[in-house]
Amino acid sequence: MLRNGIVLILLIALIAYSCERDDICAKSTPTTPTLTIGFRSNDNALESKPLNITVYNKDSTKAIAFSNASTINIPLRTDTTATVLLFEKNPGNPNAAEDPEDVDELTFTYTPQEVFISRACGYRVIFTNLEIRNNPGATRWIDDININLRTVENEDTTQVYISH
Amino acid sequence: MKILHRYILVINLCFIGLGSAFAQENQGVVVEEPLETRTSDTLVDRNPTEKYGLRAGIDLSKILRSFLEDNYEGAAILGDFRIKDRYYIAAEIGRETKSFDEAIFDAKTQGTYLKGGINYNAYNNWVGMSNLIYVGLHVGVSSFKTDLNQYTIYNPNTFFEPDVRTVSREYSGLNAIWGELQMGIQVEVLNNLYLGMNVQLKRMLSQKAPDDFTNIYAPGFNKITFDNVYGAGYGYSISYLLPIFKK
Repeated sequence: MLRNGIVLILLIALIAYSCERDDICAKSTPTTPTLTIGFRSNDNALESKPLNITVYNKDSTKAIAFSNASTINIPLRTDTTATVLLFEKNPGNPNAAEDPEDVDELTFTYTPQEVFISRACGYRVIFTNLEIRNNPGATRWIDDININLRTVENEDTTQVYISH
Repeated sequence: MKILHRYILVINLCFIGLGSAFAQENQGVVVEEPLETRTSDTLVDRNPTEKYGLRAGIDLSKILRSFLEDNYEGAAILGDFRIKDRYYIAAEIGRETKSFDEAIFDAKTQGTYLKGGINYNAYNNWVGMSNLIYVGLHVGVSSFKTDLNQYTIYNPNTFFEPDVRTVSREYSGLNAIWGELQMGIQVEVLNNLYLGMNVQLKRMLSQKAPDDFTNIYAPGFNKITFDNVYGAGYGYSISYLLPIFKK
């Protein structure tokens, strides 16, 4: 009986050890959101107008390209209160009918707020008091910027509309 | 050389002790019937052989883990006291420090714990032997603090560099209370010297966590995972029985 007891306890120890959960952050968990921007026609503010666009960081070392997109998601810096991004319309197409290879520089300012999620996901940052400035440049393809929601805490809402 | 000989002697003694503890059973099976009837004949003037007393010892697994694991340090003393034929009051007191160096945070928890409960010995011993195969119901309380040293903002988007924040936040005054089901054995390897091992299944009853962080570990309870009240643990012990009286 003593020997059976030892075997039983070793077995339970093994089960208990293998059953220890690993914490993995589930993809469905809302973490740090990106900013959702929708593109509208300058002629009709209710009509979405897709475009080819590439977004660069300030020194153009990193890029995200979107083709024929009416909605894009762009990241905001979590470690500071402002993000500067370059938006190029019709990149690599000097013969485009509208705004060929035209770059606008936008500055997004906000208040980053740190929120604890869980052991597996750690902390995320949400953004409040969002403001956008179109910095002076030679030409501008952006006609108007409308902020729909000044708080960026998920990717379900389009927070900003840009008309062109 | 003298020391070496002494070591060999001690090791041999341990093996003899272990061997005899396991061997007695098998030998016993052959002669079980006749012995049983004899003892009932002489039951009235039988000498008392059941030892009652305080068994106290240390947790070997915590000492071993302190040496083997870089991010763990712990020690515990434990003991039990026989109150009835098969029932023991058991208690354990210890302290633990555990560091977590994970991708999203780097934190350290340290504190002390106390466990207490009742063990029931399910093992039918031969006359004069006092081994245990027991189940126990215990309650544990733990008081601890957590130091958060560094964390990285969780961001699935990798366009910008990871936002790593080095801080020195101390969350103190944290606590946890849990219930614990213990199963274990205690084998008498030498006269009054016991080796024990046990497994523990735990259920968290209540805990005080930081406002802007979480409890990642509770001394005595083990790792605390998200959205899960269950935990598990194990222990190996060596203890000495201080016999107080015999029955």
